[in-house]
Amino acid sequence: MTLSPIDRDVFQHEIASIAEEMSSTLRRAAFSPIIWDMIDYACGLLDSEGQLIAQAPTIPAQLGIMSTAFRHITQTISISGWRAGDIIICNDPFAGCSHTPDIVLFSPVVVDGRLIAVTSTVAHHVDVGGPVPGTENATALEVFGEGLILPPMKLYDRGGPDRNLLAVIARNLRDPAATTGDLNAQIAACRTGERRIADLVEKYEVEGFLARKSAVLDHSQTFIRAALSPYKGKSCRAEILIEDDAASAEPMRLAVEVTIGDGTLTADFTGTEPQRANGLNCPVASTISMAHYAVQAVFAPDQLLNDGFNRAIQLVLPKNSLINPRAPAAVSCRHLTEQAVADVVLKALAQIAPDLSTAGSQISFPTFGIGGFDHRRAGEPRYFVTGDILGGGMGAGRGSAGASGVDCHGSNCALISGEIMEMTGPVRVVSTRLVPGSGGVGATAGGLAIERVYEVLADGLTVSGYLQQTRPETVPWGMDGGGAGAPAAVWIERACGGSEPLVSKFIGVTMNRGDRLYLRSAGGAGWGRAS
Amino acid sequence: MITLAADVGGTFTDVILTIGESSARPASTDIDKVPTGARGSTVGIESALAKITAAAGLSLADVDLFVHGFTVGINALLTRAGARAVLIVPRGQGDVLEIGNQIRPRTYALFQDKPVPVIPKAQVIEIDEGIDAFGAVTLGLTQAAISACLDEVEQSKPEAVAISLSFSFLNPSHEQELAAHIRSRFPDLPIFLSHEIDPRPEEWRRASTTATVAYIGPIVSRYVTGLEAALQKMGFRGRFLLMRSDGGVATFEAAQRNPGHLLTSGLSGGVIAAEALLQRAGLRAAVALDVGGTSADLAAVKAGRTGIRRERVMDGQPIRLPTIDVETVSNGGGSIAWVDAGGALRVGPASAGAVPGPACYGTGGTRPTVTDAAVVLGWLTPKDYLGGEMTLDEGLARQALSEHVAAPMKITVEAAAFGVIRVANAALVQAVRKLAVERGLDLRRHYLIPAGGAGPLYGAMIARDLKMAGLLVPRYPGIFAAEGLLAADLCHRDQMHFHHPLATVVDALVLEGFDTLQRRTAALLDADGVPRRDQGFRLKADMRHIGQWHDLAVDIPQRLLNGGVNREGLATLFHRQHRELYGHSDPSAPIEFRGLSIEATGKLSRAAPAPVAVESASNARNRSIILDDPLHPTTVQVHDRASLGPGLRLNGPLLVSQKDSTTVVFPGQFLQILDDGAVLVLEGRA
Repeated sequence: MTLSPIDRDVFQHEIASIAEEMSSTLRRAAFSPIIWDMIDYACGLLDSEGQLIAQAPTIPAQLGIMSTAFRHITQTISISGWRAGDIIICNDPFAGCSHTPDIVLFSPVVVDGRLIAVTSTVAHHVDVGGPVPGTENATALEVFGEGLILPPMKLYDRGGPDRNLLAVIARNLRDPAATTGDLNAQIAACRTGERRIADLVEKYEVEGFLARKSAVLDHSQTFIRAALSPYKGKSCRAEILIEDDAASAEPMRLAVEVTIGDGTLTADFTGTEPQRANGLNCPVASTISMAHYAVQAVFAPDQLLNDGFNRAIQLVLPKNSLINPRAPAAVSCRHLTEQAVADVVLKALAQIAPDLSTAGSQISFPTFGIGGFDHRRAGEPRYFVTGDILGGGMGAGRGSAGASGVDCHGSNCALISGEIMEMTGPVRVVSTRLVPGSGGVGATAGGLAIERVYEVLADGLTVSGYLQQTRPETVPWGMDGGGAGAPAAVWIERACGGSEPLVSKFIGVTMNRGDRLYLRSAGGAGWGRAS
Repeated sequence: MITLAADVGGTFTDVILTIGESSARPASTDIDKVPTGARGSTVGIESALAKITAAAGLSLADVDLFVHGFTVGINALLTRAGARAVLIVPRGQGDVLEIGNQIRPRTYALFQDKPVPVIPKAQVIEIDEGIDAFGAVTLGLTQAAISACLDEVEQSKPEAVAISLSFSFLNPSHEQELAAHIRSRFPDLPIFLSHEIDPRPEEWRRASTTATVAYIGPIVSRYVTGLEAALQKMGFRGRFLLMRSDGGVATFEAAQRNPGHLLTSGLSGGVIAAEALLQRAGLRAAVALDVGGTSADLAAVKAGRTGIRRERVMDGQPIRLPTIDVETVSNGGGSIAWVDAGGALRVGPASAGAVPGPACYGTGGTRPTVTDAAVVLGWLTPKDYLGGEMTLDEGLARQALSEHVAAPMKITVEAAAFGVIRVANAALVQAVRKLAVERGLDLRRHYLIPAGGAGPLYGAMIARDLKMAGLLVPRYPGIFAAEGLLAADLCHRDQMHFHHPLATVVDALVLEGFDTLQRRTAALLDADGVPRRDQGFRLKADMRHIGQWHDLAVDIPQRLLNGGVNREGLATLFHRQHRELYGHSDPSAPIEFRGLSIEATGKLSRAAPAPVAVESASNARNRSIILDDPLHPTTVQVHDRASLGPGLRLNGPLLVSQKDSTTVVFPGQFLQILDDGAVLVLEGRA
């Protein structure tokens, strides 16, 4: 059949629109603030071979896992066994998914008995069980300490739910109402995608739909080939270190060699160190996702991503390493390491394509959770939990300063309001400041870190938290003589006097009335020698 | 009664003059569209008003009511040309505007253009004070702190002051005390207090809202004062009202209390006009689509009304003031077509705007735009543009399309032009779908109301793609927003923080809260000169499940408050709205109040629209244009808008040409002229 390029370009809008509608449907029907406010979910459409055709641009870290999950899941449940109305569920990090709280759903789009496309949604659920509320736990030794593991299964068979499976899920996690509600929101999004794809197939007929789909993927491949071509033949190796501080005081090494071929890019992670007995291992789907993110951020930041781009990217991921761990490695805190995957690829690309790159950004990702009893109102004390995520400095580009106080690579989380925090529990934000001088010096300077100070208004609260980039050997890296970003840090100042430094993974520290927690992200690095 | 309305846009100012039936003169409606001229200047509008009144044989002294919508506030915000303002915040929050919520504007990009705060760090003053989450003072204001703050204010030499202190919505005493000191030392300085502008939690959103109001307030005041003086000089003695962002109008005196309500004045007119048009046509549901030069505005009209949005993020600044629920996307007649590195045709987001303008304007633009494509396809007649006041150059349009689209894609100029229209259309279809999904609309039951110069060009194409109920083209699509100004009523809004569980709150507290709001707004309507019988009040409560993050603004009918608070009735309304918006509800979960608010309106009398008559004889002519196949032009009839009288039905394909717009009707569609002159386009044959 003959297809004009305009037919393809109109189809690009139509297919993107479907992913967007799935996204709006999911968000509208969701129960949890993690979806509503933090937008920690993703929606996409795949073809029958598992190539991602379109996605709604939400959290990059989740979007990239769909194709990997599809490849693994179809090894267990062959695509020939998918029927109209089915919903396939999986969250198994060793079956192509990410960490256990990210539950992946797929549903087939079947037209006249033929599987034409697949819808997919991924959502971060508040809790999937395990020893700690929220499931994420850097000190877990194995994935078995990370809550409920769902291997690939049919949650719905030809439109009918598996009530036994739903009962098992509900009984194994802490907030079944929220999880069931959010799962239903995911299903609603899948159904929206199915319906709308069927409309498009009716409009263009099967062959017309498939031809347009292929043309859209081919265009992306042409685009990325064109974007890579000026750098053909270039190659660069990079390494970074990140903190462990859960299984060992010794930092962990990530290494990559990036080579640009003829319209291709190879990232070989040989030299990255073996997996460890902590929750920081990065499952292979997340590694692939973040490597793709880094390439897109440099070469095609404003393009709609699909697997046409990714055809140009080849990854070599050493087995049993930090970024491709063997079961039953623990992976629940992989978000710290997955940012490092992006960072190390970007470090290599900064040498290869300096005009499109920046110096090292903060991937310090300071987070904490605090809980205990709130005695401020009359009557029975009320149990509360709250927490925060801090952004920091982005690296400077050649000729442009890095942005200050932003959440970087892979996620894009909002800072919680101090007033909301104090209304939620006995924790007061005393100050929120950009840290002067925290950006790396240079011809262009890195962005500034954020420091937030929290005062505790009750006795006996328990605080735990994670961050990285706290040491001279792990801070954001400067380019071309630019200075490093200032390190991230966390410490407590006690009401009775005295300052207590904390390590990058601190768990179960007690705080009392008047104690203050100081949390600080890393600054972005500078580019070029400062004059 | 003689009324005049002027809506200033980025490119053109639209003016409409209505002489009512009861006047001594024959009833009539006159319109004009003139270039806006220099930003913030009143010269363009003065001459536009003089021109249209003179053409009708009148002077400004004959005009009873003048309603004005303008973009001075939003332009000052977007170009960061606002007033020099200072912001006073609690110690420790000096970076509040710069950090914001730490979200990167572009998720996939390494280079981030974080919006510049309206008040730079150097003009943010920190003061020692503290109020806790229960409204109790934890750190009082000291004399020393106040005088240090006043000294800093003096050094900054500001034109306005914004104050946003901790938990001011629970306890405004610190803001009030500080304001009193500033007022006594700097009596002429406008002061905006966060507990009055935006009495709700979240320090960044409240500070940003208050700071933005202080930033644009003096600019808006200067503009309106200047215009008022000019109008007086021209003999105007009637009533002068300003369009608000929430779809109401206000006197200048009232607007000065919170000039933030005038910020998106320019977005409201089109929506109010769409509501009125729909009502005249006896219809209930529509999507209003106003396609301008650089952007398109979309709004959903459900059950005859458009929703109010409580927060809008403009250029990265959250502004928590009620505005009409309009979405803006960057697709307009001036959007530039280009071919990306992979060989795909893209339209926008860059726009040729008014300067240099589309290539066919011949004013220096060399990049092809949607307007250029419409010229090449024959949809726009070069000699008829803007009623012949402007001639379009088809040669320049072809040249731009050939060089930037046809050559790189190896297709003909006609195919390129058709492609540009199809891609632009696909983007607008995508935007309408998104609006529909987010607002829960069934598009098959909604009409599309296309306005703006470019809306009716491809409105029929969009309605067809989306299988909408039909297309409703207003009599004057190009000046539709100005028409809306004449349909709006006076409006005041007020709100208070009110945090109590629905189950246990004392009735008297709720009733007293609403009573206070009604008393305060009634006093404002009294001051506007609105008689009590023309005053109307809508009560709303912000409610949510205990433990939930998001509030819903629930309309509270007075009957649920008569003889005590009908808790069950309120809960039912909340659950129904929850289900509509989120798709689920849990009637067993407890509910709490988060705030009370009121919308007070004062009905305005206005001129009835002049009856529509056939204004000229039919002189339909044939033209060959490209409608659905770039290789095979179609011969269509071109009709003058003024020749089409009520009741007439015509089968497509055809074009309807008028000074302010061109409507395209596709094969398989027909049009029907309604009593008010609007064109209804439906699928099928007449």
